[in-house]
Amino acid sequence: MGARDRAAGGSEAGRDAPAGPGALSRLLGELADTPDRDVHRAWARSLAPGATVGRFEIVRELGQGGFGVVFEARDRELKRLVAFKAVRPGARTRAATESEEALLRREADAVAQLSHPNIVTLHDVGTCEDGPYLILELLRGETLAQRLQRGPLPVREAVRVALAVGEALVHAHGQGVLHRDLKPSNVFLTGDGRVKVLDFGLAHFFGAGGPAGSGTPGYMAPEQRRGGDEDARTDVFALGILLHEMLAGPRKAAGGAPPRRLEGPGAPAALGALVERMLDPDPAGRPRDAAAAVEALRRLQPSAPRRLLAVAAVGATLLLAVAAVAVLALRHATPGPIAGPAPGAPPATVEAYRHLFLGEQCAARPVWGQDCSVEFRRALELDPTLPAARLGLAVWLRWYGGTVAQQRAEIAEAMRHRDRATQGERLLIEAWAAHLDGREEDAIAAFRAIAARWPGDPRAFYELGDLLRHRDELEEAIPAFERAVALDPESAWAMADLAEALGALGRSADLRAWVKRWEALPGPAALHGVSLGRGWLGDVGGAAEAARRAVALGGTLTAQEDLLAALTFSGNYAEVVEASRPLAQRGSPVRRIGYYALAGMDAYQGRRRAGLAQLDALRREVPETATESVYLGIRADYVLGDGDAPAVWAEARALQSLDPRAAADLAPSLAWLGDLPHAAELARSLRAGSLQAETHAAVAAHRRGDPAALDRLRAVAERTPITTWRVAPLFLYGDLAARAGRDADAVRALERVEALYVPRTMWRTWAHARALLLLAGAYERLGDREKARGAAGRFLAEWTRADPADPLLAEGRAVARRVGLR
Amino acid sequence: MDVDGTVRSLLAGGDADGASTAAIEAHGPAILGYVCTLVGDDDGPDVFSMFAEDLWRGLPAFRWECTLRAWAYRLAYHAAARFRRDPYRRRAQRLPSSAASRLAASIAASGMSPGSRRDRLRRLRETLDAEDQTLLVLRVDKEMEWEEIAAVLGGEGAERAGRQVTSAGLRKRFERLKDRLAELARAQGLID
Repeated sequence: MGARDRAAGGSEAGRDAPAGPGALSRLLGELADTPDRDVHRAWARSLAPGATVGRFEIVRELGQGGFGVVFEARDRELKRLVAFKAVRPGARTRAATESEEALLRREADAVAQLSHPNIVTLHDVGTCEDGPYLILELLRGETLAQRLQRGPLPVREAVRVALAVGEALVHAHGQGVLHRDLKPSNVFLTGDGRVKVLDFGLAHFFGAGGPAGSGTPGYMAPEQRRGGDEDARTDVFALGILLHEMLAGPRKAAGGAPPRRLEGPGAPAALGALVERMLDPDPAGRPRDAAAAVEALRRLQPSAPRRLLAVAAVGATLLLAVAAVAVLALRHATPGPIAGPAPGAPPATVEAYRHLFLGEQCAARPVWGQDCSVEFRRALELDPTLPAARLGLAVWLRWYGGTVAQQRAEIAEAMRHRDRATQGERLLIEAWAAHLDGREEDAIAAFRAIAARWPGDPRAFYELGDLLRHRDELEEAIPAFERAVALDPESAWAMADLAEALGALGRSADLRAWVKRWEALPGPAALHGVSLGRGWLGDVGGAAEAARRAVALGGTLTAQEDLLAALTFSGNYAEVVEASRPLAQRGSPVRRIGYYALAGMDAYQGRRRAGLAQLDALRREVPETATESVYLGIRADYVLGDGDAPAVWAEARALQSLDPRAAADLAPSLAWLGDLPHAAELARSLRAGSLQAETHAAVAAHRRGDPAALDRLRAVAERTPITTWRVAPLFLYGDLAARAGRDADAVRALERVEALYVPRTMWRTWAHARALLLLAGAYERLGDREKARGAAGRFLAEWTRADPADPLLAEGRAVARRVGLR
Repeated sequence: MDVDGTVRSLLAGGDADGASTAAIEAHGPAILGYVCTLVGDDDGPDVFSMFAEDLWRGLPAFRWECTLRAWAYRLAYHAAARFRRDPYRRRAQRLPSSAASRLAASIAASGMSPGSRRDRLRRLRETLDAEDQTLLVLRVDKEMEWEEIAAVLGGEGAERAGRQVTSAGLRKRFERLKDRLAELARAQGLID
């Protein structure tokens, strides 16, 4: 019943009369009339003819496939027509775990591996505001489904098409790719008689897992319907149905149970037998793979000339029909640092996107010590103007070894090609540009805007949190990390940073709740959070246990690092040294980590010269570290332990030339050592009001004799006890308080410092021993000899193999004697 | 099984995505028509996307205190309100490429000549606020019971605003709306 025919408010009868009581009813009906709309079309409307996406101009819609709307589009740069496939907007609502992006990436990854005359070629991948899209070869002809509407195919033609599809499957299976959704609408017959298999959207790598039952019901093998193990024989089954339909015509109930055998006259008995074998419900009864099916089909192939058959079958009228996909020349096949694509290799742009995806995946869930920049660099070798890869590389370099100049260069390059970026990428590029220009507030505002615009994307939240964390704004960073972890519960670094922020701020109840959540998650990834969380909650044994479990479950270097952290924290340095040696050896992908660990373990045990020699060796062995701000910063942190202000200043100057802001973070420590002029010089680059600026101001004022400065320092350090990379303000305060004779305050601060779960930071490798001695002295003066003995005893136990000339060793022995240990 | 039953059983089986899909497949076309009435054909699909996302996010926590259809319309109603409030949307007016295309678009959108019955109806419809439009659509076109409409227009938003939406209140409001429309329609010569 239409609205116009209906009664208004259920009280008045509707009539087609201009006046009288029915007139109002009719009027109300007209006003209220809201006809249903086609949801898919509405969603796809922005990709209407005339719209442009990057350099592609949409010409017309060609059809809606299983996963996307396909348009004919004009590539305005290359002046040619292509097929533009937008990942179906309607799929958005189901995209919980199988997001559009994931679908696209899977399709791109799978198809990028394939190069075969019977498989449609994918040329480019991108993302526009309306979602991801694929650029495919544009083909003219019709799908097999359209062809079958006119009736079955002649036997010869059916065999020819099945053979071509089979050959495509042989190639794909050889690349480890299953189609999983083979059906007549995914087989394309071109006007010139070629056969192309379309839509590897559901393909996945053997053994890589995939959504069970995500094929098309009428064409799914029994094992696929059950969500059981799938292999090449799953596609052989679908090919059998395809062959059956080509010979017998489409089934009436296409979604129903698959046929078991070919019935009726016409087909040779041998062909019927082959179809029956291919349709065997038990995979073991089918041809063992696509190659075996192809071989059997070849034997059945009539001897008539193929070309003639093809032309006869397809017919001239089909030339009028147009549908997705045909070959585009390589767009980015320019020879770069690597040779041009090998014969049969996927196009460079697809390869570039593949490496970009790998880089993004790597960076989103980094394995401790893994260098994700390799993937971004590879993408850029293949496609130097890919802005997302420049962005990925710049972001990676920010925290992992690059100079500011390098990051700026990458971002500048990304800005130059930002017309190729998606809207989100463009905003990210601009946010990072602001960050690198020192416009921190703009950068944070931009990240917040990105997070608000894409609330389901953990990346912006993590990067916002990370930026805030590096500004030492832990309290502000926590919600961002929480959101990142909620969106991606296995995001290793978001977990680590969240645990650290909650732990450092003493928010134990919140941290405990997160640990509980991570404990409930399966697999090794979440054990990272469990280990770090327990460490921050003071349960070092539990931290080690979680890490050991993660290692046993096949956890990566991250799990090993967690274990080394727990062992370091409990003073098992020998075990850590043993595990770290192989990491430092030539050929190891994580030599820096190995050397830093070895240097740290030497320092923890009082062998400072040996530790410095390890850092020198790293610079010798991996020369690029000499220009890495991370290396120079870690080295400066190490040298600080000698208490030699000129040496620290020399390190600071080296760092300053590369990254003035990183060097500025040394200002509080240099002031702590008493070099106030140089500290002040460094501090000029500190952001006003930042933790480090306030720490520096208070330390410097204290060293100048300001009696109130120590209290100011305490207030600052208790609010935010740690700072990223550099010495913890709380340690500086504890040390100065002890030296000022404020023993009770010193004990409170240093006990908290000792509980900070940062065993692998370089400053702690020397500050720990110093804290133990300061604590021992303070306990002694406060009359707590038991605790004094405990602290001094731990110091001596850890320094049994210390450099005999180290002055701290003499001091430690003196304290030990005083408290009656020797 | 009816839509509500299907969605409930999918949810009970842990298939939240399937449940959302079923809900949107069942009610999506009508909801899209409704939001296009509220915000126009150009912006309707955007609002519909917001609605669909809200439904997808909110369905697992939906407490079934009203019908799924009423809840879906409530989400759509709020999505349209959110859309209209969004200052970015207000700024980002569509920019036609030329005066001719603007004129063409406006003619295409109205499909009517000025002063025609349809044009007068359109103008009359534009005098209604979103709540009145919703009331009219749901009662007349969708033939909803008063309780169901109360569930659409009530809910937490209305409670926060200190308003109780009751069937009796809606019935009165609808009568007043009819009177007002009748008066306006008479003034425009739409009815005698």
